[in-house]
Amino acid sequence: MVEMKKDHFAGKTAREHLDEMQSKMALFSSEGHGVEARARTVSFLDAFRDTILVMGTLYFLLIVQPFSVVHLFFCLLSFGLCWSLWRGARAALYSWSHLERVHRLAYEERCEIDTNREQEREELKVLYGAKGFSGELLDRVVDVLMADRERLLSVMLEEEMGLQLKLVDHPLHNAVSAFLGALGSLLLSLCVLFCVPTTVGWVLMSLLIGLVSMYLAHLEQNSKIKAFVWSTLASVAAFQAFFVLFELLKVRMAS
Amino acid sequence: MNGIYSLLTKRVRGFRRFFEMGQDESVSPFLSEEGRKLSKYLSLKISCLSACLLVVAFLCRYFQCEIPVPFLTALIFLFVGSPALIAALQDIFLKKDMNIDVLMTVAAFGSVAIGYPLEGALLLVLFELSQSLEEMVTFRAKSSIVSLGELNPEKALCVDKNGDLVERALEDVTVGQEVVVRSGEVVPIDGVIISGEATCSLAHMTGESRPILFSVGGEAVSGARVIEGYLHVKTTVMAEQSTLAKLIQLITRVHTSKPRLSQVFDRYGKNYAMTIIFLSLGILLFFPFFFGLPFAGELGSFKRAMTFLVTASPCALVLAVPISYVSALGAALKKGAILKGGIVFDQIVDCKVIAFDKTGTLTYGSLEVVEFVRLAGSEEEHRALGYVASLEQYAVHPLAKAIIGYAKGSDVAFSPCQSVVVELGKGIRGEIVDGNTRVSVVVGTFAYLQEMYPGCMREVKIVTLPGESELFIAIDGTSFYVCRLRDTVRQEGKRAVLELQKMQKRVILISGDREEQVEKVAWQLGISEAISEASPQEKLEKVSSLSKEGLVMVGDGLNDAPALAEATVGISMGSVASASAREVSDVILLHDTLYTIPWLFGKSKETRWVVRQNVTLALLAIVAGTIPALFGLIPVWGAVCLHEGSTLLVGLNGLRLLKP
Repeated sequence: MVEMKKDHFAGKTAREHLDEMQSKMALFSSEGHGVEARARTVSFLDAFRDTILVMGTLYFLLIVQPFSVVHLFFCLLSFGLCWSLWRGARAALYSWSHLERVHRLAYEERCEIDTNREQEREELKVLYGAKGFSGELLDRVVDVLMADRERLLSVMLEEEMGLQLKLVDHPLHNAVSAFLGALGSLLLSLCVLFCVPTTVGWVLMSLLIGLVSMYLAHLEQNSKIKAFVWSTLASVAAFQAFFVLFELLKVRMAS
Repeated sequence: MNGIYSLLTKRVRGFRRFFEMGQDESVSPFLSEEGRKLSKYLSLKISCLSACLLVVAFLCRYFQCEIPVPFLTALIFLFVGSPALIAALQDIFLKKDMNIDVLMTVAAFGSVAIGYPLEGALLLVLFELSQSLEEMVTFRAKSSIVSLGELNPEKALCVDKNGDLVERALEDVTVGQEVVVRSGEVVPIDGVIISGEATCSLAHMTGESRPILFSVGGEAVSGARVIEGYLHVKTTVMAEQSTLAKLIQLITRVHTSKPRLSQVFDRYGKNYAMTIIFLSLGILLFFPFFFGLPFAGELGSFKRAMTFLVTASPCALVLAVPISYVSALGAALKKGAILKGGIVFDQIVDCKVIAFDKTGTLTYGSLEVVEFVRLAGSEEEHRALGYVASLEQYAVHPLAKAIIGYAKGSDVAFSPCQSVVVELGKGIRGEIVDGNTRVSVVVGTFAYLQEMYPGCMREVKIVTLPGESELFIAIDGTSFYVCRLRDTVRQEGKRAVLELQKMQKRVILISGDREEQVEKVAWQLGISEAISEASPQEKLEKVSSLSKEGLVMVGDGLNDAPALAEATVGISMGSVASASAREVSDVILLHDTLYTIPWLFGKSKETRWVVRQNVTLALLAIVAGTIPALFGLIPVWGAVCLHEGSTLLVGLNGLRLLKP
């Protein structure tokens, strides 16, 4: 149960309080189409986490092959580099796709405002009528919004289109973060996998995934314990699924 | 009410600039500040990065370390090949247009098919480099222009039926609506003044720096800026019919940014590209039947067709023109001149006439004190100047600014003031606190001083010289002074006019100012042809007739904007020009230096010469490469070397123009 604070604004003015809340919300809200469109930190951590699972699975697949340790190491390193580049490129593509979409929506709405002012006025009346404004107050609100083109466009994008108008990182920043996250995870995974026995390896990898999720939850101010437990056990289940299917395949091939 | 909504949308701002810049990512209101900085000139940064990767790849090949070369080539194709391929596919499938750019892209990717991917990468890097340089210069030119919208108000403060002041968009203001215009604001729509009084500036519209008094019963002209006071206006027209809107409609025009030669290439490029592609297909399909050649292999028709395609692709030709103009534009920027496009060089070189506006162009456009003289009394002039300057600090007036500047330059001491009263259209009075004494000071028109001190200066004869403004000063009603102010001629003006006359250019002065003032400035600068008291419409008519000979028009005010738009080439003075003058002119002189104009004529001539050299070189390379390639007389690597070599040579030759 959330404890209600006596001083909700904690000594600040209402405006300062709203400023702070909006800045916090902007950091943690996500777009509908995926993690890569969020802040670069999340890009980094997400790529880091996924790469652990991928590298772990690949390692367990290749360890049974008649490869030397050096050969195995370079196979994994090559794959890991390829994977890191792809994660970076994918992050950039997602971000640019999002940017293109919002630019297009803004342009279309602006054209609508320029050509159909009366209809926009009617739309605003309906939108703010639904919020409880009426009569002269409603007319005044609509007049104020209609007077400033930039303000009108921002309001229509938020109210009519449901867009969250917040500043996002450049797609290349997200791409570099994702690439570095995957690369960092690759190097860490190689260190873990080549230094510990296989039976311990996958457990450590699962724990690593859990730790990353815990940190992500800490940034989002969510429950760290829940994040850690769910992520760790999900990766354990994923690894186990791989092991089971792999054993079945080995048996099938032997027979 | 306004506070809440600006809070809700405060983080996303700058939509107008975003749309004016063609939805450029570097001004996207959705990107963070860091993201916008990264986006600025991104294609140029990526081209430079690709060029570095290309150098590394060539070095690896030279030192016979081939392993990283395919990876580096793939990266280069990703960074610079993707935009070219996207543009080519859009041209083919969406615009149904086969042009030279498509041919070049096919040649670059075709190089991979014949086993020369690195050479294809070189083509792409050079192509993308020249495109991004051109984009950079265009972006700089666009972003230096203040939007016409910032001069043209978008809102009006309307009086509603309850007497409250409500902000409304200009499109929503009807005829007969009452509008209030306060100090510092611009009159949004034409109307009749029903109450209030204000001194207004029409400097950006007429070029006149002296403010004008607007009072009840008079006409409020849209575009006038209120300096002091307020106006309560009843509108007589709709926004789109106001004086300012009509003036802006006169000056709006679309620029063709490409040089003439580029336009020629665009016109014939489609036919050329189609011809080369069909010829290549013909070689591929029919040579084996007619000449018994195999399809595949070193001597096969496929390789021969691709070699022909690569050598015939006019990369050097495509690069020849933009690299030259872009370099020249870069040199102009170093000289402090922003040109809106390469076509300006084409246009300037053929111009025989150059016309100058007076105020703000040949002169500095702001008043300067030329004399501060005691007419009567005993108070020392230096001290009196200090009293006047101290009082004028309370006035918002161009004359006040000039006096304060003059006083600071004369090292006078400023003193505190009290009981300051500003009388619109007349002057200012107050008391100066000088130690333990109070000194009464009055500054204003002659009539104002007569009103304050009847019978004063009766024996003084006032002679007003043309082009001068005067302020009269009274200290304690016993000492009287006159301060003369004048707009002075630019120092480098005479030199610039002389150089233009040496180049056999006809130099004309066209101004809206009085005849004696215009003649005086023309005489000072050595200009023999001068037209005075010309309205914006008359200026426009004169410019239209002169444009037939090729006219360069140099101006700064909103009143010059129609003439600047109509002239063959319009040049505006960067720091003093109105937003509309900068918007419509082809050249903006950032540092207001008139001697850049003769330099521009010289640079245009040099650019034309280099472009001709490049085009000749490029055409020779195409002919020298394609005919032997058609008959298999030169190997693939030879054809590619010739092709790349000519492209590089043309690029380097064009880069010579970078030197100012």
